[in-house]
Amino acid sequence: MPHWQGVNGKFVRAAESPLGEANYFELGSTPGSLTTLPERLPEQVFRHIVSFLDFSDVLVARRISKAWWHALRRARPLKFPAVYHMPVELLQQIFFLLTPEGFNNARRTCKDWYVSSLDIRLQRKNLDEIGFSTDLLIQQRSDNPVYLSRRLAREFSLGAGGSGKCDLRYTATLDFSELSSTSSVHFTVSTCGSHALICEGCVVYVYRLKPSSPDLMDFVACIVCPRRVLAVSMDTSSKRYSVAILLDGRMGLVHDIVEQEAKCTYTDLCSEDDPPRSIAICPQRRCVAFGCQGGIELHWVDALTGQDLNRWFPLTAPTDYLYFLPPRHGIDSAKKLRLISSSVHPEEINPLIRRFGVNRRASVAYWATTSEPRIGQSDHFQAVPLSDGYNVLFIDPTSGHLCVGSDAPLGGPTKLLRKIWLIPPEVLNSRDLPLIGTLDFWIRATNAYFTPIRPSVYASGADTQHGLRVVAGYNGHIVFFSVPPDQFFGIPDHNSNGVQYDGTSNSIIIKKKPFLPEDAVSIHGSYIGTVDGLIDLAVHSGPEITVYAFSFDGSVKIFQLNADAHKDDFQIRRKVFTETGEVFDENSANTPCMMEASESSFENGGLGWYARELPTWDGNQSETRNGSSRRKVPRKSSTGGLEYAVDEMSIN
Amino acid sequence: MAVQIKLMSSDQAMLVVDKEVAERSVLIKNMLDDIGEVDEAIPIPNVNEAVLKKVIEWCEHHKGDSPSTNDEESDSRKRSTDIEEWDQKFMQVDQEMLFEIILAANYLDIKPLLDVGCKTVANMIKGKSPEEIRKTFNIQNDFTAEEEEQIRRENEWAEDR
Repeated sequence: MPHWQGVNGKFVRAAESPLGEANYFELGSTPGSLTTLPERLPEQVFRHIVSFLDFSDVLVARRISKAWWHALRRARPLKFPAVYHMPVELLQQIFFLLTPEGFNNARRTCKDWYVSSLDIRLQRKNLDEIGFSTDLLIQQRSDNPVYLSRRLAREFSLGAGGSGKCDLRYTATLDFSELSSTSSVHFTVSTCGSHALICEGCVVYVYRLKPSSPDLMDFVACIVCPRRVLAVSMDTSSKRYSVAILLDGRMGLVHDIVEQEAKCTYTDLCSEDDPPRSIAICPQRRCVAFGCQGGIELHWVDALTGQDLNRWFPLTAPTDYLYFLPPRHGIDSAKKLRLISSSVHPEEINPLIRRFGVNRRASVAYWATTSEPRIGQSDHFQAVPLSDGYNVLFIDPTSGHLCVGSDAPLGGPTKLLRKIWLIPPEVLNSRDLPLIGTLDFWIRATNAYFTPIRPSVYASGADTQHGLRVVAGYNGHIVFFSVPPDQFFGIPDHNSNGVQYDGTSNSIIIKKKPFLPEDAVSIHGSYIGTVDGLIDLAVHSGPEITVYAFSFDGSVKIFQLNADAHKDDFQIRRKVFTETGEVFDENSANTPCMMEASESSFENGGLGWYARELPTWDGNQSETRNGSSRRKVPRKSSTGGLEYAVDEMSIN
Repeated sequence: MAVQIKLMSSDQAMLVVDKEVAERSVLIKNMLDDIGEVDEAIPIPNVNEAVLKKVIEWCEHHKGDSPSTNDEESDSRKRSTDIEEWDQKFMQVDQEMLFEIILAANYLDIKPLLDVGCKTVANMIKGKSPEEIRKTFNIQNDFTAEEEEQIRRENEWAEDR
């Protein structure tokens, strides 16, 4: 007679039963009481009990214990949608048919789909299609699907593929209004994009832009000047921690903020009837340039004699914007200086006037009364160099669009190639105005419809290893552009085996095709926010990608990638920066969170003094550090025909 | 006078019961049909005296019931868990006895009694949360947090068959 027998309270042998074939659930090691159902009952009995349960009760019972879960898998197997059981190979086959944007959306559907998407060929195919086939880091880590997946996710969060969707969100406001005695604060971002300088009367405050810092901007130093500050220039790309300052009364000053007391002054700059309007500091040499209506006055220290020398370069267009171009890696020596000078767009406000206000002082207003270039006469406006030393950002006079390009070998020294056109979202210039945002947004957008949309300020990120990041302000609307490496660095010449691996230096050598006008590409940007009174921008293009938007009212709006920023309860960080260097966190109980600058404010940790230690300096005491042998080259009159886009010179 | 037979429980207790009552068990009925009249006690090795008495009590109460049909098997999920009042009182025993009755009904092939026992257990599960069910049956939750989350997500995808 068949029978079952209990041993230690568990069933070990099958018996015939009225419910058919006898089976017992596996007697695992799961501890349980004598009344643990699945362990005590033959499978068919347990199945019989389960047959009386509703589906919802079965789902609940699956969560009781492991024994129940295992037993219910056999007694009442769940049915899942067919797509849930899609084999990985089939999913991947479908993923291969999607556009990069479709693929990025599909892989975020569920965990199984995401895991299925972690295929190297799939990741590389989509990265190639959005312009990352020449990305060096991707080439080096092409066997790591997780890295490739993260790279793809990061690029789509920054608007890859011209989707117009960018996940940079407004996360913080920094308030510097207490630093100004008036209703306006004058910000200038350093050429390298790593520092912001705040000019208040005769004082320049220097802050480092540091997204990883709790305060996002760290106080570095303040410089007291003998006269009112008109313009400043700083460029730490070659580790030169100095500030060049243009002062009222045709006076200039270069102050080293690492080495105490290291400063040079320049007087009688340019001429009485054509005072300086712009200033640029050379990143790699002790050299500074002043721009005016008629040309550029360059000052440098002779490396052999230590003498302070200068030279005058006449130009036909006013030098509203003046920059030294960074040395091109492997091409330019430290001795070689390259300058780019450009004018403000005729319909834009002169940068000095925008910074200080139209009615601030008559001496500022007259800069705008001199003859300015007309659109048809200039090849470009407002040229700003990129960190690679080759390319510049500029405005195309005809279209008003922002362009990336380099000097044109065949077009003369005044011409710039238009390699990349940066196109803002259509919403900024459309009659079909969106019913979103504030009334101010609507008014600005309306104005934008009647006037050509043109950026007034823009900046690029210094880190270009994953392409170029550009941020531009159109009537206060901030647009983010992401130019992928294939478009920025150029596509390899496949006809000549363009991509080669250099085993000795562990790097990829890309042979590029010569640029042709038909190779020009357009990149569509993504709107990220609006800032009233926008006067300058900075973008930190490293891993902690951050946009700083500086406003005339003393506020700095911060835009970052933050997964929580879209939530309703997300709290915008608000910090108030005071004249004494303290920072108050408005989100907490108004306690100071920074008392003074830290050594880490500089990468080399070389900060030697703080604001309170600044000695009072009478600027009339010394004019230049080496002051004896300044000489001025006789000024040439403007020929009207010669204009330098990129002015190259070699000095000793 | 009704024909009686003797049953020997696992703890060697002899119980005398009407043949009609004993034949509620399909197992016993088939055996008697095979071997005919028997004077010796029939061993019931997996059921002790206390449980066997409870089973006989149920069989005596239901000896006149018509044989059950298998119609309900076609859609077992929609079967009612309603239990007659007498059966409800009969099943008001401790959990140990309840499961012994179920096991005995399964062994002796008394399907109506098995149904009553299973319905009683099902009613103890219905409408409760996992934690309440654990308390009811004194079960230890041996899932890790990750496993609980995984099952919760799996349940979200599941469809009724």
